[in-house]
Amino acid sequence: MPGPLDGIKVLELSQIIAGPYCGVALADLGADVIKLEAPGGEGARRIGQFAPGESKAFHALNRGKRGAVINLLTADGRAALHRLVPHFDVFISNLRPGVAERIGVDFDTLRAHRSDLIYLDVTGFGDRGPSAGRAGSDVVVQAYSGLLAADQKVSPDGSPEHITATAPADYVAALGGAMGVCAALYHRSMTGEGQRLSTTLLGAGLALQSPWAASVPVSDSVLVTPLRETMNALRESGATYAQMVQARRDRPSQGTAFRLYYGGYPVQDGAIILGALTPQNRDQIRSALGITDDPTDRDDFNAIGPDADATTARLEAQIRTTLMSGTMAEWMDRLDAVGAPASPINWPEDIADDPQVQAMGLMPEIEHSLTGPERLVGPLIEMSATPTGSDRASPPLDADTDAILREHGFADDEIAELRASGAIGSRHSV
Amino acid sequence: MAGALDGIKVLEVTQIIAGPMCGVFLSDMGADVIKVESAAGDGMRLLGQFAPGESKGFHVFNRGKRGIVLDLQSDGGRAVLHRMIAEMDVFLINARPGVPDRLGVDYDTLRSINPSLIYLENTAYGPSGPSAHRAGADIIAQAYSGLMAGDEKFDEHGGPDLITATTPADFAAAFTSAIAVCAALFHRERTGEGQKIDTSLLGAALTLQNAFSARLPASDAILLDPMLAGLAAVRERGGTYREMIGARGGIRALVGGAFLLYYGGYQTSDGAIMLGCVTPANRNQVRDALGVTTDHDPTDAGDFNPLADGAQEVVAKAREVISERFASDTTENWIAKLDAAGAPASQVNIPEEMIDDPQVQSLDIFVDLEHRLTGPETMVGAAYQMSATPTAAQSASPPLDGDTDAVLAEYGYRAEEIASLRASGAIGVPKSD
Repeated sequence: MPGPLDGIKVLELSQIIAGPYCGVALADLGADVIKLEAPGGEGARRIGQFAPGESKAFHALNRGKRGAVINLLTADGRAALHRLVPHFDVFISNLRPGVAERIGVDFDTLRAHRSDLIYLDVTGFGDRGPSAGRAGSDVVVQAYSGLLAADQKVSPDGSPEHITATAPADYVAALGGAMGVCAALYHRSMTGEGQRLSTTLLGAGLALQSPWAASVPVSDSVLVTPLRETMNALRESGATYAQMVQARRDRPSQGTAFRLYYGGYPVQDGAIILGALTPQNRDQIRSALGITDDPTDRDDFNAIGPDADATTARLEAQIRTTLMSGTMAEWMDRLDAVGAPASPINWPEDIADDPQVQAMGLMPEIEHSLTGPERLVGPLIEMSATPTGSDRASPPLDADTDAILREHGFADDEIAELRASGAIGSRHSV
Repeated sequence: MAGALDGIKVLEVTQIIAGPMCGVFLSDMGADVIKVESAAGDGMRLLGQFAPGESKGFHVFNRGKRGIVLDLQSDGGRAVLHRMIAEMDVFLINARPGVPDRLGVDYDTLRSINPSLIYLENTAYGPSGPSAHRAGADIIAQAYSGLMAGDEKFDEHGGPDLITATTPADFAAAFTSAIAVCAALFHRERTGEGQKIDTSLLGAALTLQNAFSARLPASDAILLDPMLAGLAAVRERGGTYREMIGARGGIRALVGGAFLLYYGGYQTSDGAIMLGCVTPANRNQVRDALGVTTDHDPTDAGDFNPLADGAQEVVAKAREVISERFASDTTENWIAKLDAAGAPASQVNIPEEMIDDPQVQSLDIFVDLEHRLTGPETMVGAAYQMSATPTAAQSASPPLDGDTDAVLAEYGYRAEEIASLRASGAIGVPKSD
């Protein structure tokens, strides 16, 4: 069975994560995705490269696509792209505002070649406003959007520490973009109309922390307004970043008792994570741990009352000591037996061998034509009628340029001429 | 102009974040989303409630929807859902595997009523496999998937510190779910066929770190295999979590140390600054702005080998120089200089203040809403804009049982039927008197 986007053709002029991962998400749904690169190849090819122009990150963020090299700084290269566009349903770009116009791939130019084109652009800060022209990358937007301060991690020397496990704004912009493209395809099928979609890393960063960024005056007068006053006072007094983070950590919160059973604790051979969301979950954990005198779920417990801190500190110490008396496997057995949400701490580099990951087929094995077999995180959606799938590795630089041009009506001598002039193809590939 | 999903009807039996947020995304694109709750309400209503059954989290994760209360444990409540499902395009549920069957809202049951239904189920670990039945939450997926260890943060007790800024697995699952629903609507438009969609927090968390989790033998021989061997050795001798993180970080720090000089945070004279360089050109911009020469920092010179003897000291010395420069002036002045050079950098903002940020305001990221019970509020709207089918937040979140009667009336229930269902407890919140 074909995927839901079977027959949909996507041209992607993108780099690093946000644009490329959007292309992966569409390829997983069956779209035919062609990645366009400049002759030097995109930047992610050289972040941790293990073979010339090939990095693990590039492989993970570009699987499922074919690759073509067109030099959009040449008039012939631009003309070749404009000749391809009428055959395509979707165009994805992540460039700084203004660049698309300079190289002739802005919405208005491309729409003139294909009137119902769906055009997605991903930028750091958007196309207007005081920061529109600024350089953006995931970590910059982590900082700008508040995500990094909300993560509340400070290095030993007092510098802000970023989220290193992932590039949250990049991935969410990619997923949000793919969602918008799918909705736009649906709309086009109903009306025949194409359109421009814009998404920003900044918007993605804010979407990830909607509850903190939101303003609900009735609620904020109790918690948020005092916090903002404290932060302002600290700033005026010349406080360090670490002091400001500490102040945010220490703010009165209804969440302190919640965190007792929603967080990580060291155990004898590693660490264990508790993830209780409901009073029932907490009862399950209390019964597995043998904790009998915890008042925090009683109706008469005041989470921001004067005794709350002492009570939660006493309980935290008790939970900590109890968990330290066993191993990950022992605690997981007991917590699983009562149905409580808990997990051992696993390592990203180990997870490909995890039996649940394998049972779900989350990391399919595919073959790269240059570098051999690899197991990558595959589609994260299963669809009963239109299966998702990935059997194509990332393209080597310039691997499919000639084939793709031929497929779209370019004659062999035209292709040879374009290659000779440098309008298509990589410098190193001849 | 109408939204892209104008006319699409969605019924959701969801809770906490992953399911509800998917409903918000569909609603932002114009879908008519009805949230079904039990009389007790979605658990999120109680997490940090500021009025009975109303929390900021619930308001954020359920804006744009109408709300009804059905007792799906009762035949009457289930019958209402079955009668409504005939007119729905999409059904969303996030519960433990097995729960949909118990409540009579599993795919086979609902499909027998509405064959072209698009049915989306999100679970923690997915529908099959040894962990399928286990309880989950975002933080569990963070831990299980490796995301938390990959973040390499610990607390003062040496235990793992979670990502607190957001719930990454929940959000990624919500986005993925919405992608799949939209793609399935497109497919149904072309073929008439509905289907079942499965997503998981585990899969979502893996996607967020696909480069770390991938296995690529040609590359792994250099970096990954030695790291895993080091990790295994620490485990073997009963080492602590902190030592395991150290073992994971060691070789990565060697290779990535130079990269992190210009991709990470520094203190300034009045706060902190973040650099986000991903290319040599970016790093040159920063070095120019700071007055750092290749004598101070030779790491971008062609012959620098991060694995050579003494390379770590070179990186440490460069870090010292960069740190001193940043400490000598204010964040504002550094941002001005780095912006002028075109380098990616930012001050470190706090989320509670973003609503007043001029850039955020010029992009209209926030939407103003009026909640029926608690008054005005301003929330993060759709993360993207569509030129022909604009996204729009339709309304604030529903109070518990806020729209039950109106919605049932819209689906053909007469006033006396509604009254008798309410009296039997099949719909609505029982009066406490």
